[in-house]
Amino acid sequence: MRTNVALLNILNNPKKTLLSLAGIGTAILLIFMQLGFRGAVENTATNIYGKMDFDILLRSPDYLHFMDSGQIERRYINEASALEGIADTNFMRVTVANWRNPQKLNTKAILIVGIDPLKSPFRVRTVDHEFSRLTAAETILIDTKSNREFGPENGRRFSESDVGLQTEIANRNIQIVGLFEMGAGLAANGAVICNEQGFRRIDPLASPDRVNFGLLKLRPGESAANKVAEIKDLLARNNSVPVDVLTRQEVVDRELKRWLGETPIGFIFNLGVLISFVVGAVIVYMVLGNDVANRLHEYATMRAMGYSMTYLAGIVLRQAGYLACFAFGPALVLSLILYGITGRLANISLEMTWERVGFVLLLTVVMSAFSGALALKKLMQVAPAELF
Amino acid sequence: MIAENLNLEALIARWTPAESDLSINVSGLNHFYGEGETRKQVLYDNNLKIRRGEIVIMTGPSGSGKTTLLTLIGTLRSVQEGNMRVLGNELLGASPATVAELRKKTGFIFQAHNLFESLTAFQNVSMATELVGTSGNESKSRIEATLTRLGLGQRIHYKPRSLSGGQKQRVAVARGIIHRPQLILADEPTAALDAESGREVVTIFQEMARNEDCTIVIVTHDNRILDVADRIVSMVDGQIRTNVLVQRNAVICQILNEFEIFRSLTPQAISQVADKMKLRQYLVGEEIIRQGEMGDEFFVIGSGQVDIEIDGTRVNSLGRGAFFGEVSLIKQQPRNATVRATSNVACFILSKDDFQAVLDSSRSFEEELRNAIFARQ
Repeated sequence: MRTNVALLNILNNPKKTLLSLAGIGTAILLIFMQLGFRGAVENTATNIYGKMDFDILLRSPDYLHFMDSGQIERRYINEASALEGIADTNFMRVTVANWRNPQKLNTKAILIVGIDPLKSPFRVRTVDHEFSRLTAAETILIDTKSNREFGPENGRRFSESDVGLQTEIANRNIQIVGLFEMGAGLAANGAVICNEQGFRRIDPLASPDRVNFGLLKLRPGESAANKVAEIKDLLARNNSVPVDVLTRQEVVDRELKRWLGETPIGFIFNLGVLISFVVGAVIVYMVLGNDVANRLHEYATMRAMGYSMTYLAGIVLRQAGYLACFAFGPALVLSLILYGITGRLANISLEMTWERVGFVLLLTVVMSAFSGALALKKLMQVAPAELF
Repeated sequence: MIAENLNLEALIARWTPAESDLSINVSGLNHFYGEGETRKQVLYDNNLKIRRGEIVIMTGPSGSGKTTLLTLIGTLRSVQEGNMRVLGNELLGASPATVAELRKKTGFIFQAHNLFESLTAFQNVSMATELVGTSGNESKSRIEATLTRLGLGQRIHYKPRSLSGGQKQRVAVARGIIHRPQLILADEPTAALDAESGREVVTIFQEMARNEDCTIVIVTHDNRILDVADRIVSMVDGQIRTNVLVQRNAVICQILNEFEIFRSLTPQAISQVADKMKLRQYLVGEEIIRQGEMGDEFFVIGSGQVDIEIDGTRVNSLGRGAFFGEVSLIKQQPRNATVRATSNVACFILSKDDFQAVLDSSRSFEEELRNAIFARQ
């Protein structure tokens, strides 16, 4: 059994090693948090589309984000529905209006979603029965994930005790008749659902012939990509106004591209990951470089005894590996705890994925290998001739 | 007493080893530090032959080059000029593979100990055995036995920071010898040790030299251990100034002391003569000197019998303790007689210059010699 010099070196000075591990672990933790936030942005940005029931989406080329989506002619949906392979169609109207906080009576912008209560455009079947309560124009359902600043009775989130409550949207009286759970995403802090009459009450300028989204469902086995091309052709033939026809994947991709690519959000988090990586690498390098410098005479002695440079390099690289491994575990545990805390405080979903664990582990290994390799340069100063 | 019982022939064989018996053979070795303008010579034309199993003590003031010579022997520096064979390998231009092999056969003991701080005493020593591929229970018990013998039985699993200077040095010694090296290079291995453990260390050295033919080179100023040396090499200003085989010197001194001719010399002078004397063997019937030739050597018979012949006629017979060859040296004349071995003969020989030097240093010796010559005629 060979003496594990690398491990013994690491364990020899527990205080110093713990300090080093704390530094490296913090860097890894920061990477986890940055990636967590980035992931939360992705989830939140696409969350609402994830809840909507469609294979192909029609919307205006003017679409910027969910609350500034532009409008399309409602008849486009009908035209498209005539095509072979379309199983069902639906629509959705969206606007923003001022919600009066029933407790504090101040107003705040909220997302208004107008639907046909008889034919839900959402995937959330479990709350379908709630939609049937939207019988009158002044009835609305409120998103339980709406921010507390909209004024739930219990001060935290909307619940059964808020049902029956009356307040105003755009200075019109409305009544909460039920709840749903969605999460409106990055663009809005809260959402309500109402029927078509209710929607026009809140937004009198809305034309009955125009909607924000057309939702198409395909028959099983139909290829969305092929159908998209067909619909584009058809609509282009009949109309001069262009329409965006998108598969679900395209919708998600564009949403991610907008939030992560066109806003600084993605850049900030990526930069955060990079900086954390560099900080981690610098710490590993400093720890190892310092250690090698302190042990130069020991390494020189090994050379004199006949150990090869490869063996010496192995010790340094394995020390890097041990540092990375010992720092990774605690950093992972700590980041899971922080995900929970931050997620609850910020009301976003920070979820750990195996992909992320793997990716960060890979980053950690690369980080320590890179720094270890840099520290090897110091090994070149080993001079066995100076030992006597 | 030694002298009479000595088998001179065996001693001569021991003192003039064959090439294959040498573990270190240095010839014409020069060494330089620095480059270009700042290049400075630190070793000047050094020659040294060390036999397997010899214990060599190297002394000399600091800066005399003994450490440089030690690092060159240990392959820690590359040979620049001259030749150096160590354990049968030429080190001038040696390949990295040769160097690596040699290092594994060498045990280094550094004055600064250079222990591995993170490893226990046992693990420190174990690093040396692992490298040469011995491990397992046999190795484990050997390490424990060695450390115990060196008085570290209670400290086997202590790290260097919990050991005293002397204990660290003993761990360093154990690490240097545990893998049964064929060559041990030690720098002040007993400097930090008390008399008792210092003695134990040199005793181990002697056992390794005797039992395993291990060659041991010790740089030391510790005169408590001088007695273990087979050879004492002293260096001054980058050159080997004296290179004395201690036992040979002692034996020759003792023999010379018995001889009439050297009676007048002080012990110190005899020792100097002994240093300079060469030993040579002649077989029965061999001509040692021939009448009419110019002579440049002075002979003292250590053992055996010779005949003196003048013009082909035997005039005298000489034995142990007798000398010849002085006349032509003193008078600058050709040899006036032929000397022939009538048995196997071992002679102590002084060169003409050394002979002259002895004459110059001692008037009484010269007189003694003249009397002897006169008496012979």
